[in-house]
Amino acid sequence: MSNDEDENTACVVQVEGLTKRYGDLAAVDDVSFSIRAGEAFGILGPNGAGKTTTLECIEGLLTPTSGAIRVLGMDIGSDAERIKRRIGVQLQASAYFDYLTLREILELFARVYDSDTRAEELLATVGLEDRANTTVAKLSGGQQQRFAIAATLVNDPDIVFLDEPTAGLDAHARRGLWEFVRGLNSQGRTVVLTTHYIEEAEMLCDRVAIMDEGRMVALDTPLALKRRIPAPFTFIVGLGEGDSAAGLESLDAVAGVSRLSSGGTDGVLELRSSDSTRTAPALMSWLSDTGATLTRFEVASSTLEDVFISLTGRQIEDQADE
Amino acid sequence: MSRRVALYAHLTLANVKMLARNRQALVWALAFPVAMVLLFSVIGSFDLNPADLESLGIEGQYAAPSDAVPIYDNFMAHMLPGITLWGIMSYSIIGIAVAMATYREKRIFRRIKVSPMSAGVFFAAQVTAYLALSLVQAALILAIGSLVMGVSIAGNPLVIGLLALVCNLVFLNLGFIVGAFSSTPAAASGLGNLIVLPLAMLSGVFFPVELLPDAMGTVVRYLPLAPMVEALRGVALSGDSALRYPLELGLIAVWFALTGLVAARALKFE
Repeated sequence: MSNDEDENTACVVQVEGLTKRYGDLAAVDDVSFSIRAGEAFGILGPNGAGKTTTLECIEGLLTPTSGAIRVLGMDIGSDAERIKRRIGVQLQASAYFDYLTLREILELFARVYDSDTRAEELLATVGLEDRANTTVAKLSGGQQQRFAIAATLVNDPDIVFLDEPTAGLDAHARRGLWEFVRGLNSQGRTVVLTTHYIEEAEMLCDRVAIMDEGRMVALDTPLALKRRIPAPFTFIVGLGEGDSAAGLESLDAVAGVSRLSSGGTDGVLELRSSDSTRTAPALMSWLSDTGATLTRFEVASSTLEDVFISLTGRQIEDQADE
Repeated sequence: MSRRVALYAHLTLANVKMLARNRQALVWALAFPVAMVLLFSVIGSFDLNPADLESLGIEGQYAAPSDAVPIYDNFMAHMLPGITLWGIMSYSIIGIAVAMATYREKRIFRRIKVSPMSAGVFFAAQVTAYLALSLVQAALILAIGSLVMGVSIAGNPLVIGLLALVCNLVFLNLGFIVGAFSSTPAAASGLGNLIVLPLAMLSGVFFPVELLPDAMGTVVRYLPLAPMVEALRGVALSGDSALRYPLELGLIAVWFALTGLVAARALKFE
């Protein structure tokens, strides 16, 4: 591993012009991107956007129709065997042997990778140390996902690929898994994951690639992506009885004002802002100038959902799972 | 290379464990044929008309240890090799077919494919585990026939075991084919039974092929199980050399090659 030094400063995954066709349908259409060593990289998009297909091409599970993929400096077409030894892959909804215990499965995979058996240690990292002698079928959904991830770590991989790691989990189990994935990443491992959960991409990923209908429509840090929206901030402002909203539209950095509710005596307004740091002081001085009373005040930043809508005109979690 | 061998050994052992822990299938593999042997021993102990047996070609066909051997011993002896092969066939075809369909459904194939394990090692370990289990099956069924029913096994156990293994290779190929063409484990079990039951019924396990209509009998004689039953009867009961059955061994070899080709083409590691 003499070239580890180079790899750490370079990209661990390079995808160029990746296309995967099934007949006339292009599941992935001319996608190019790079993943840096040590980053948490997310591919976000609705179901059928081509996230899993992209991931499976990188993992060597699918053969691209065209394009080049290099993983850890090696070509996936000619060096798949060596690449597979250094990556860990958790497949979407994958299961394990019915009649083997967790420990036996990890021991088997350790043999596959010719690595040290660390079954107890791996199970402990995902909080399953007391389930070593049970079978996968007896685990809960969250435990099964955690075990699947533990099983990807058998060979102490440089890159961990997680395909929809929290799909089908309840909110509590999902948060637990996020903690664990963050831990993996903080150990210096590159984490690559696909998700159709906005929050997951925002919480976990250093950079997010947004995919839609086989194409990559954007790639940046979550913050930079959100800044691309013309007015990424929303001020919810409630005014007192009889207060006029006149003049709000012309405040600094305010892009538009709409009335959320006008029932009764007070009005609640929504101000779209391009820069919250300029809108906030302008709003405060407007309040003291006009003498209006503030009855409600909230500031919301836009989410990656808004980014997706502005890019595609559709919502990501339209066809969200159960 | 030694790495691969170590992995193959580890995986084979894991497969044997999995087979041993699947109680339901194991009961099917071991207890059912034994129950069949016991059932036939009851039937055989009824007053069978020697003339009837003779007309079926059963009576006096095998070297009996003495003249004092009752008729039902010959009847039992006649049934025993067929039941052994039938037991191995059911377990191997249906077991492999269901396992392959399950592995595909649960994406275990894909999980293996993203690891550095080769398909060759994976399937070799699978086959070895089933071969080992078929030896246990054959030993158990023949031992009960011999020790409990008093059937005399004149053949060399080594040759009997080898023949059982060769026969099982054909069954395993068939199991891989059924598994490849079944979309779910339940479909694999159904399709497996669809092959196992008619083969067992027609191939001379329970009644002689001679009783079938001529055209059907001719066809059945060329199906995989009939020549196996024929050869195993001769080898196990009369102590014949396996080489005395060149036609049967040839048919088994042809079936092995044919099913092997189809299995290799049909089975996708996906």
